[in-house]
Amino acid sequence: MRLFGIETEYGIIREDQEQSDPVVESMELVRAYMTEKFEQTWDYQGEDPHEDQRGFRVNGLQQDVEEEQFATLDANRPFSFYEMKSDLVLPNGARFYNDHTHPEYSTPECSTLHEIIAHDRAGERIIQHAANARNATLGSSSVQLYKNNTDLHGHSYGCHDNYLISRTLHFDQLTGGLIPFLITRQIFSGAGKLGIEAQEKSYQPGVFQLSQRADFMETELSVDTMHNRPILNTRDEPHANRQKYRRLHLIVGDANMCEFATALKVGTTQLVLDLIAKGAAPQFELADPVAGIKTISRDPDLKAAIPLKSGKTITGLDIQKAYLSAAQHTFEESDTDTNWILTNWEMTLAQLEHNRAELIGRIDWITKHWLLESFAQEERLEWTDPWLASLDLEYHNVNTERGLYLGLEQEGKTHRFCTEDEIRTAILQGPTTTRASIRGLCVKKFRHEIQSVQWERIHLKSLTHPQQLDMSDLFDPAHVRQLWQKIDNAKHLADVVSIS
Amino acid sequence: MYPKYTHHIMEALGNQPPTNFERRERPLDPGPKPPGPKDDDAGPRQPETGSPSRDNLLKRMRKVDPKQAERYRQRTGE
Repeated sequence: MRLFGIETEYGIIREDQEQSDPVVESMELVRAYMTEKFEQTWDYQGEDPHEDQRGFRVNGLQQDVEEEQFATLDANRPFSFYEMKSDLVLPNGARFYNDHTHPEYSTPECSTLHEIIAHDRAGERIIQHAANARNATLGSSSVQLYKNNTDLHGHSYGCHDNYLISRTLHFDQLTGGLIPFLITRQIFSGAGKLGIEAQEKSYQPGVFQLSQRADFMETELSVDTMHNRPILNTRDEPHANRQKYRRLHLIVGDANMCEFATALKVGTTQLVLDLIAKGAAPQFELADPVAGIKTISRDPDLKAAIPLKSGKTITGLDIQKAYLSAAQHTFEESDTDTNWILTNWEMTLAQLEHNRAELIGRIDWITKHWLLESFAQEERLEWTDPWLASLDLEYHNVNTERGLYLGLEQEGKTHRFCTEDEIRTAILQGPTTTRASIRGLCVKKFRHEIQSVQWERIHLKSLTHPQQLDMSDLFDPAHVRQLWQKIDNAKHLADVVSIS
Repeated sequence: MYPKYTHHIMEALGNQPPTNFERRERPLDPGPKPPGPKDDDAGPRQPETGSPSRDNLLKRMRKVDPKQAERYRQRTGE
C-alpha cells in the first residue's frame, strides 16, 4: 500500500500596492474560492509540530519567537485566528488555507502517480480560480500567484512531499538510506533558480542553480521547518494510527511545474523508501550533506563531486545511479507505477549525462535554463541582468496568460503526464482508492452534519454524545470503496458512523 | 449538481463535467527514449527550433517587467 501527498505554499502579491498585507491577501484569496459564509471546520487538535520522530518532544521550535511576534500583531487585526486561517476542506478531500501568510493547497492522499499529478495540477487550477475571483472583486488583475519556493531575497516557503510508512521502520534506518538520495534527487526534481541566497540574507545574482531550496538547508536532521531547515525533517505527525504508521514529511524539495518532474520526484522517493524497508538501499557515508546539497545545486554541469567520509568523492549522478541500480535489482517485474518509475529514472539519468535538451518540458531546471539562456542571447543580456531573475519568477506564475511554463505548455512543448479530464475530475473528487474520497464525499453530502475535519477523522455535530468517523486505519482501497458506498447511500452521516 | 465549493469553477471550465468519476487505468507514458535517432511519434517533444517560439513565448517573456523580481517580497514560510 502506497500513500503520498504534496503540500504547496504559493507566493502571493498585489501588484497595485507597494506593500500589501500577506495575511489579509492570503485569507481573502482562500475566501474568494467560497460562495457562502466561512465556517470553521478544520480540527487543529492533534496537530503538534513539536513531536519528533526520534522519540522525544521538543520544548520549542526556532520559529516560535517569530510566531509569537506575529500572533501579537495578528491579535490587533479584526479577525479571529480561525478566520485568518480560513481553512477549507474541499470536495476532493484537499485542504486549502492560509498557512503562515501563504495560501497553501494540500492535495488529498493519493496512491498512484496519476492521482498525485492530477491533484497537484488541480491545486494550481483551484488557486488560480480563487485569484480570478479575488481580482474580479478588486476590479483588477493585481493578485498574482507563484508556485515556487523563494522570493529571491532570502525568504523561502515550502513544497512538502509526504509519504505514509510503517512505524516498524526505525527512523535511524531512514536517515542513512534517505539523505544521500534527498540531496541528489534535485538533479531531476530541481525547479531551477538564478542566484544564490541564504535565510534572510542578501541575494547574489548570476549563478544558475538546480534547486530553489538547497540554499536554505542548514542541517541534516531537525523538527524545525522555518529556520534551521533540515534535509530530513523529523516532525512526527502521522495523521494516522500512531502505533502503526509514520508520515515522512519532506521539506527539502522544490515545487515543480513539470508534471514529469513531480512524478519522478514522488515516484523515486517512494521506491527508495521501499528499498530502505527491504534493507536494500545503498549506503553512502557523506562527509557533509549540507554542504553537498549546495555544491550539487550550484553545478548545472553535474560534474561536481562531494566528499565521502572515506576521503573519496562522488557525483550526484553516480549516487542516483546507485539507487537506481538497487531499485532495478529489487523491484524487477512489478506494478505499473514501479515499472514507469524504473524506466524513466534510468532514461532521465542517461539524458542528463548525454543529451539533456531532450528533457526540456520534463525537468524544470533544464527547461528554465533553456528559456533564460535563449532570452539572454536574444536580448544580449548578462546572466546577472535583473530581467532574467524576473523571468525566473514568472516561470512559476500560475496565471495562464502570464506564466512562462504555462506558456510553453500552451505551445505543446511540455510533457503531459495526465489529461485535462483527469484534472477536472481531481478538482471535484478525491482519489477513489484513498480515504480522501470519503472526506470529500462527507463534505459534499453532509456538510451541515459535520462539526470538524482532520486528515484522519471527522467529528459529527451531536446534541447527545460525541461521534466521529475514525479513518486512522483506513488504507485498504477495498475498505475505502465499501465505506464510500455506504456513505453515498446513507440519508445521514450519523447512520454510517454509528455502525462503522 | 456540483458541490457549493465547485459549481463556480465548473462554470469557469465551461460547465464541461468530467466524463468519468471512476479511477481509470490507462497505459503510462513510456517516457523519454535513450539517446539516439528520433521517431516522429514517440519520445520527448523537444522544441522544433533552438529557441522559444518568437510569436508567442518570446512575446510573453518580453512583457515581463525587468524589475518584477526586485519588487517581489514574501515572508518566510515553511
